[in-house]
Amino acid sequence: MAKKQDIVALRSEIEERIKKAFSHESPKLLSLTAIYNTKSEKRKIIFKDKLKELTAQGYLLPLKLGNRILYLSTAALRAVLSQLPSPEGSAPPPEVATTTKSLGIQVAYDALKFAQGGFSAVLISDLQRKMGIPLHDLHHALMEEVQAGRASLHRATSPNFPEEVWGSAIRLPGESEPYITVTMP
Amino acid sequence: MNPFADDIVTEPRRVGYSVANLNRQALDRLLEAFASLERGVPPRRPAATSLKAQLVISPDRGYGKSHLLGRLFKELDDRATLIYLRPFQDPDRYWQSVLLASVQELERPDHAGLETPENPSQLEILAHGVLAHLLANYFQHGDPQNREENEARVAHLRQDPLAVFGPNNQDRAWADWLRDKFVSLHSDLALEARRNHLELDGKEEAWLKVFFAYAHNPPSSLPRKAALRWLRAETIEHEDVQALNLHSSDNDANPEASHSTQNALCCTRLRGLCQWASYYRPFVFCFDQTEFYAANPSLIKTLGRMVEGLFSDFPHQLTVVTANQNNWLQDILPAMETPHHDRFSPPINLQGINRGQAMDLLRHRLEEAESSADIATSMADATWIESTFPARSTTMGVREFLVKASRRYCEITSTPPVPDLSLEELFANIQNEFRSKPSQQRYSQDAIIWFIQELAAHWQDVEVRPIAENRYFQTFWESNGRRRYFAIEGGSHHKRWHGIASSSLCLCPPAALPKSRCCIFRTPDLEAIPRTSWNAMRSAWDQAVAGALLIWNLSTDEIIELYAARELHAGALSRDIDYSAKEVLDFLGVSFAPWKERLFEFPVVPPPDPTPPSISPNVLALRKDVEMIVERHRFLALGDLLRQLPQSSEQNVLGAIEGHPRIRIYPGPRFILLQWRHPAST
Repeated sequence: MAKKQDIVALRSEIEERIKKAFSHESPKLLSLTAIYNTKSEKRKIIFKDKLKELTAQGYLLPLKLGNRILYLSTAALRAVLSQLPSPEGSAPPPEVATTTKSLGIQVAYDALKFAQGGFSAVLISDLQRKMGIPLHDLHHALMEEVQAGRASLHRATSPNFPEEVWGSAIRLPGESEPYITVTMP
Repeated sequence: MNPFADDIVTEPRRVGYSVANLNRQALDRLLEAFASLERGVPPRRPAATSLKAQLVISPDRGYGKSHLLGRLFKELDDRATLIYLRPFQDPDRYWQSVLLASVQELERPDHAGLETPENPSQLEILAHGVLAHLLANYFQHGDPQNREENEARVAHLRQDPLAVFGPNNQDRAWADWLRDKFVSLHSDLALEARRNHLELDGKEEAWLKVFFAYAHNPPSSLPRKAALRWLRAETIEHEDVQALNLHSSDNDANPEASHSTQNALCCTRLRGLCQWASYYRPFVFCFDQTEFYAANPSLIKTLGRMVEGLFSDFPHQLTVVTANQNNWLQDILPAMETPHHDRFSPPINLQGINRGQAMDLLRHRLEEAESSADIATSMADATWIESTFPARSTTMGVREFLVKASRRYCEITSTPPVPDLSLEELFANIQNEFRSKPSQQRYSQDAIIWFIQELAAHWQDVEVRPIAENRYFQTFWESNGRRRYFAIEGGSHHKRWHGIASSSLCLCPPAALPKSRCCIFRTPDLEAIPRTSWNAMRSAWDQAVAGALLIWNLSTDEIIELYAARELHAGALSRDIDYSAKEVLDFLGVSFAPWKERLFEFPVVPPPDPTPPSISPNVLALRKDVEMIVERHRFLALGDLLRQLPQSSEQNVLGAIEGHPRIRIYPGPRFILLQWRHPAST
């Protein structure tokens, strides 16, 4: 049992190291060794397994350059892409974020989703903590995102949340239950 | 009838129309995981790396978790053996629950369609598949001088085992040949299995005899019933051992086994089934309604242990677990052992429905209900659609959209809005759902344990306590100095019942009567007890049932009431209904008060044995009659239908049309409505 727990601890340590390597907000291509360099065979196996997992979850994008594989954070890439204008004559323009506020929400959302292992609904209270903006402003920005079809709000299905979560919830007139989480595409 | 009123999927084999690209990615991930089990030809070797349980996550209620399972069932159809599992209730007997439910699921028809004798069960298909492929192996290794002939046999057997041995094949030559030769062949076939590294503790031959007995005997025959008892890891009687041609050592369930020993044997049986899947097609185990575990840490730990067990010891299977994200992250994961977290895949997130998809669903529901063109045009009105979905990419849960569409439909058609259902109405609605699905009325130890332990704990005047060191009776109620002891027993072995009878006499000796009494619930699908062969224990039995032991044979209505109650509670826990779990338990506490009174009454007049269901002489003929009537009326209440078929019982009629592709059943709180479906919508 102790051995299993060691491996679990090692897995989370390595996951943290990978996340740290991609923590900057501008997109950066990183090689395997730049992400995590180790001589331990055991760590290498876990590291590769974690990379596969994060790639499958859509957080990392593997890009081939000759024989090398470089990795890119999709969250950072998404942030940059959302600022690019649509090329002329392309398919109907996607409803992308145009305000810096929404861009900030998307980046914070992606980072939080990544940190919670890919679960898509992010707590509004976590978003506020991450963005460090007043709750009123966050609610206002989120409602703009919802109106623009870039976010959806969700109610709680568990009663077991701390007071902070309920305190950060969005309450809409005429609706009996508050919204505590948000998903973004 | 409001075409948008039906917004909760309670049975994945019954899902209706699916919007093609809604949650397609999630479905593809499940299909991709499953495809990895199909590599190679039978007998397949277990995959080099085990598959993690695929975790389907919904951001909120009503995003289509159960619907996705239904789509998975449809897509996999004849590629997998499909097992849908409702929550288990007892952390000490979880494998027993899952095995019992799995065997019941194995008895469901292979194609999620008609529950009729001509549609073979999943178990029948598995048994034919195993025997056909083993025979093919046998011929492959057979006499080299007959190589060409053997190659033709091998190809024929492997191509479609059901076509060779199945009940619908008019040419019985192969089936007759196997029936003649099986006694001399089974050891060779077991040897073939062992050659392919299939190790079942020396029980390979026993398994083959059980498969043969099940697949080559009619549904109500003794060999078939005995085969099911053995598969459920029940101790079988001597006559069963003979009917299956087993060695006495193959009867490995000990009638005096403790719960943990019995649980371990159930695990072995289930693993055995998965091992045999190497000869045919993989299993898919779907654990739905996991919110049910959220309030009970020991059940959560057990779920983790079970998924760990499936991951490490069960080959040829895919496990799918569905959950609401909040419940999973907030309630379930923190209570689960950390090493078990890693046995679940990264989340497969469900998405909401967008404007285009909503329009598609809208069109389909209106067509299915044969609504007029005017209504269809008004429902598709751009202003309403745009106010519901302000942007093209706006999404919401499918259920939320259906609720909005339902309100809109009422406005357009000037019909009174669908009222929010009271708890009484919701309960009645769920009861009618169970009523319309006779296949869901079979013995469920989990529902009984739920009643004895969970619902009873909600009564102020009853204290629910565990019993230490009793092999049979696990729980007792105490109320005003009176005690009621409960055992859960679905088997019918005389030694086990002798033990139960003796134990009830010890717990409730004559001096303790009427204050103490033991009770066991049974359902009509179980073997009737006492069996005629119980001569040796008859006096102990008679003495027990004269006072100490009450056997409560649940009627169909009582089963429906009990199962619907647990489902209503599950609905509250997953927030599928707008009532809290406490409100539901308060309500059910009142509804089930007569059950409590009846259990505490003394002297108890044993409840009358339920009337046995009337046997329909010909299910196919009855189904044809029902088809004709429903097609003529298009929409019809069940009561009106029954008036036109005075010879048939409600149970028989619903059994004959369960899963019918053209007849849709709408259970409502007051009546059950039947609809003849347009071919385009089926």
